[in-house]
Amino acid sequence: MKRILILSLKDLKLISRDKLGMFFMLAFPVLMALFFGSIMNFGPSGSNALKIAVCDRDRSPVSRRFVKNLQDNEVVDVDELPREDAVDSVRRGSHAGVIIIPPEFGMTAGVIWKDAPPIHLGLDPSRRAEAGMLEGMVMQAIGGLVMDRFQDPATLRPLIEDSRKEIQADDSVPLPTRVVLSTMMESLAGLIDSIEQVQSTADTAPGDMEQEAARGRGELRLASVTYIDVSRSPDPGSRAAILSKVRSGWDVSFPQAMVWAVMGCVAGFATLIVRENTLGTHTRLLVSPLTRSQLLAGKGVACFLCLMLVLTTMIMLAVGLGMRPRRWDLLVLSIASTGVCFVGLMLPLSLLGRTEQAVSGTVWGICTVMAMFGGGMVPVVFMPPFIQTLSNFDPVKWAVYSMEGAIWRGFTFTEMLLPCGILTAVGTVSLVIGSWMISRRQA
Amino acid sequence: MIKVQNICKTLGTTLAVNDVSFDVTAGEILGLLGPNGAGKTTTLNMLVGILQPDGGTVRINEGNPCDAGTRHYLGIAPQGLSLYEELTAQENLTFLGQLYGLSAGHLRDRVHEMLEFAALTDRRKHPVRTYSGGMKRRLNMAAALIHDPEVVVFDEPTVGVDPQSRNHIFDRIEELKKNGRTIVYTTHYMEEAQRLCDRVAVMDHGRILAMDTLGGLLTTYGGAAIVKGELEPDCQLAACPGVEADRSFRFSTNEPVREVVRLSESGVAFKALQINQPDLEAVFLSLTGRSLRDD
Repeated sequence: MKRILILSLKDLKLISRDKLGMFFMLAFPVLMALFFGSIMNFGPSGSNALKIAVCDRDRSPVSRRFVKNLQDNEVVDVDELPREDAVDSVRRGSHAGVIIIPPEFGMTAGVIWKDAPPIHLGLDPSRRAEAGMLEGMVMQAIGGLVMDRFQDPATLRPLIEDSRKEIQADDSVPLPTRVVLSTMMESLAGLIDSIEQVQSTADTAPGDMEQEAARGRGELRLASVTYIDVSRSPDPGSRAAILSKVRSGWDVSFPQAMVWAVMGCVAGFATLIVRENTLGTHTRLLVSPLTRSQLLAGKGVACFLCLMLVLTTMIMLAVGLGMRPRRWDLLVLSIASTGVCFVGLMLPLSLLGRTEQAVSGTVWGICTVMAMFGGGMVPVVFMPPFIQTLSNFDPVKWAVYSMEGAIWRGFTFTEMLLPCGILTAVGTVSLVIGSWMISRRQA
Repeated sequence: MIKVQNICKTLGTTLAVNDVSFDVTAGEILGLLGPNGAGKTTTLNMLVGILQPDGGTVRINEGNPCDAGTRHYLGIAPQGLSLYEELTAQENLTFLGQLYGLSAGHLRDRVHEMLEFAALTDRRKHPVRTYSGGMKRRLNMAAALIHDPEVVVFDEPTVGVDPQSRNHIFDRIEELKKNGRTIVYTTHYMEEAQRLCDRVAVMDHGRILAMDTLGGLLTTYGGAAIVKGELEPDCQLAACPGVEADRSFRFSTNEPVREVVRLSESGVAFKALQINQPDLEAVFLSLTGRSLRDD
């Protein structure tokens, strides 16, 4: 075993000094993961709220309350901006609409017997369907202001008194109408008195939630709306269901990139085996007191260790970026079986040529095709059904599948047995065939 | 020490080695001399256990070189430079020493000795790819000797080497001989065989055509020495054999010096004199009918 480790360490040293090889083993896959992960992460946002810009030019307590009412509404996403910026942001498409609250909005807002408060609404013309929704949100917020007025008798009472005086002094209004309006104002004053009484009674017995509800604070509801669960629930095997488990772009891009790193290692070590022959160092190893099995094991262990180092580095980087594997133990199982599979494949692949250039070119050619069909370029889930069927014969598919199983698909141990078993079996068979071919060639 | 009996090897459709036998005793240097394609390297590969003979046996210290245990006694400096170019000289030697199971302290000492041996101590931490051809050749030899083997095989160790490095290599091989190492040395340079080898086996087309000490080969196959030159005008021309009208002469004899002295005493005066002793080139010519470097 010591000699196998000596051989492996030598090979690791050699591979680490091959700058181009290291690029394809680590730098290229990392760049690939970052590139595709970024594209997926910074795509369209998942938020469904209607983004609107608000410009409060009144800045009165009532207008602030109105803005707060909007902000409390989960259906809209409110950004407060100066007037010009707010309008521009809609024109640029950053917001769906703009609400401009003019000065003196607070004078009449929420006072139902006065003129409706002015309010300016601007909407992205391409999103007219959302105009009605936004208007509704505004009305809901104004409704909140009406309720606020009634819950604050101290400020409402002077308004009622002023209005009554105005009605009585206004000769333009017919007398019968003035009488009706004055009566209504007196009724409102009486209503205010009643609210004050209720509030003072409630204040002597605080903390009772039912009483709080009875006072109706913050409640102006024309209907009691409750929501029923109609969340989308696609077929568990469907693409939508599978993709719903993805939490970030890194979940998808890193397993793909890790497979490229694996293939980089395979190409590097296959080339290293040929280089031993072309440089003649293999002759020296054959004359040393090593068995041929030890020589092969040395290469295999070196390739496996290299794979583990590269994959561990990539996983650490992915975790640093925010990828959170669902099952660490299954991820270890996945990369170990991937390692066995590709170490096994490396041996027969190293025999596909007699020069470094021939082997390197051939191995990369084969690996690229395997990556195409196995989901190393485009996730298998996006491929047509017949290619998905073909990909079942591609070890890259099972490597990506097992890594995804541990990272985001939420596989159980039993579910992991299929991909990991296939990878191990392919690796073992390839190892046996490769060893036999190498000893046959040497004989 | 080395016993090779009737080994044969066919590579593809070519009979590369055909019924080759030889023994090498401890402390002896045996040279395998022959042109390219004579079967020298194939013979060496069977000698060190890289190739299995199709027939015949090879024994090193009574052991089969295909056994890992027997290979402890063996060191080889292959014809191709068998070095890891991305590693330094020190790393190459350390790696090989570790493979042979040298203990840490012994390994350190041996690496130091071998760097001295190859005159590479100053460059020990430079990658091998930065070395000249001669430096690589010397390191190739040092790598064969890191575990201090009893039997060392050098396969054309001076190919592509400058004269300075060639002399360095010859000195080192003579040093090894003094230390009692048994050496098998292949070359197609007869000067090297003449300088280094106790015995020489002349190979061609996979067979050993003749094997003997250098003197024995020259005596048996080299023919007589050639004496040639030009005589002074007033001397006894008639006493000298092979004289032409222009007073130049050429004759062959097995004892050229004695013959020249005898002629001088009989009144022959030499204006120019050249004695050509028989060499391995002549031996090879005699054995094969063609020059060693025809190819």
